[in-house]
Amino acid sequence: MKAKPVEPVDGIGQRLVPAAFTLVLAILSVIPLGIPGYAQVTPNFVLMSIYYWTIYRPDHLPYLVVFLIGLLVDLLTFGPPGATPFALLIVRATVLSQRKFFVGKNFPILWWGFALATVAVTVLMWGIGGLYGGRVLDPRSYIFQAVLTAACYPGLSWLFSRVQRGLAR
Amino acid sequence: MAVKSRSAPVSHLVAPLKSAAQRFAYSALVLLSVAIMVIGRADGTLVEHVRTKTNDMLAPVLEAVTQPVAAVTAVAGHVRALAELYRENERLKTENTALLQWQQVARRLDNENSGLRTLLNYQPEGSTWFITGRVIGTSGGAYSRNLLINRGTLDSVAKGQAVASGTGLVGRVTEVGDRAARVLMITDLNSRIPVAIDGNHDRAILAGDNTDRPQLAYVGPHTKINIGDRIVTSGDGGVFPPGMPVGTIASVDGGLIRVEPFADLSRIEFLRVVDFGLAGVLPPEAVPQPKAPKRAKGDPGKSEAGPTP
Repeated sequence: MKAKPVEPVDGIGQRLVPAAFTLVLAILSVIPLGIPGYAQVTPNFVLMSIYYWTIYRPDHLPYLVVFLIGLLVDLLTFGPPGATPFALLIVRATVLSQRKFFVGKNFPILWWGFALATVAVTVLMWGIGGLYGGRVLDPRSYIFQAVLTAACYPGLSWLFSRVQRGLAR
Repeated sequence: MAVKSRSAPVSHLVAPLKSAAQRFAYSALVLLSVAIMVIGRADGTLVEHVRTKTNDMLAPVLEAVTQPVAAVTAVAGHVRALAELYRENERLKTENTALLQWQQVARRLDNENSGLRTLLNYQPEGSTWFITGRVIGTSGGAYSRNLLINRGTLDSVAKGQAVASGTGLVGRVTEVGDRAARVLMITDLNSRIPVAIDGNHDRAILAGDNTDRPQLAYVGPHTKINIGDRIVTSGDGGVFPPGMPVGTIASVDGGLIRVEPFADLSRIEFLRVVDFGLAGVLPPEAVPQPKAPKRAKGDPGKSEAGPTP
């Protein structure tokens, strides 16, 4: 997966794609699929989207959009409000600062970076959830969710890259 | 961060400004997130209000997205059912024979019961009312165990009402908007349900801990508990009526008793919101009096409301 230089001129439609994708994934995360146990370990699709687009199209997924989508996730999922935007903003800032390192690297390195981001977000969400609820939360669901999230990244990343290539044409 | 490679003279000026603005936006939004966390912890009702409004707005979208998913799940279910048709039929025949015997017993008991009630001049409990809703959202994460359903105040759903599937108690309504309501499942960390062990009437509290099998807490010291014992609601606290089926004792490990819910909580598509006319321990303003449903009920199969015997 080769990174393309960021094109300064884009149509409004192209500019909206990363945000729209992330929003759709946020909504899809809460859709009941009828798979036993899925609701508790739903992969963090929003994190995948934000990681990917921060590396390849950071100007199309600004902090404000990350914040708003994170807040929507908290409102939809009944989680502690403010925790998801907090974690996602930190991910975006960290990835942005390391962007030069990631751009142009081959996929395993990007995947490794994503796994690290997932671990960080999971620990953060677990910690905030515990503070908010006033007790130590059972980490098992969190661990499963993190593993599933890291495992699903290649698939979604491939989808994003197809979309991105389609846009560049 | 300067990402533009073209070196137009303007970009020399614009890039640092843009970078500064971004850094400011980042700091401001992180602070805002922290502020929201603190406010949310301190003032639950404000968050609840915003959450209810958001869920209300998104309910039609979620409902629309859920339907094709439900259709696919149904098709998969049909295929599975076809494959197991023969075995299923045999099982059902056996079960039917057993149930017919139970039906006889139930009829006899019902007769006897009504006879005894007449003798005692017993006042029947307040009329119950229910409405069926579709699950349009799940918790989508590890933090909590809840469901979003497509029924709200327009359908006379109110906070505190019990939610059950065909087989047993699922939870209770904790947040309600016009078109959507949030159901806190009995497995959630914050769920506490007063229950009794069926048969001997020993009381306990069913406490969720975000696992599939909630714990049985505050069990009396002399209570005898066996695996397989039925757990029903005790009616203490006045939120649920006594005797609603909840689950069976699944394991007893030292002091840790776990209950397997009757309802398959991970695969609920439709559930029933039941109002028993019990105000319970919730503050009066949190429990609006049920009124006749305002929304037109023209979609058979999805909605049914009316008094149950």
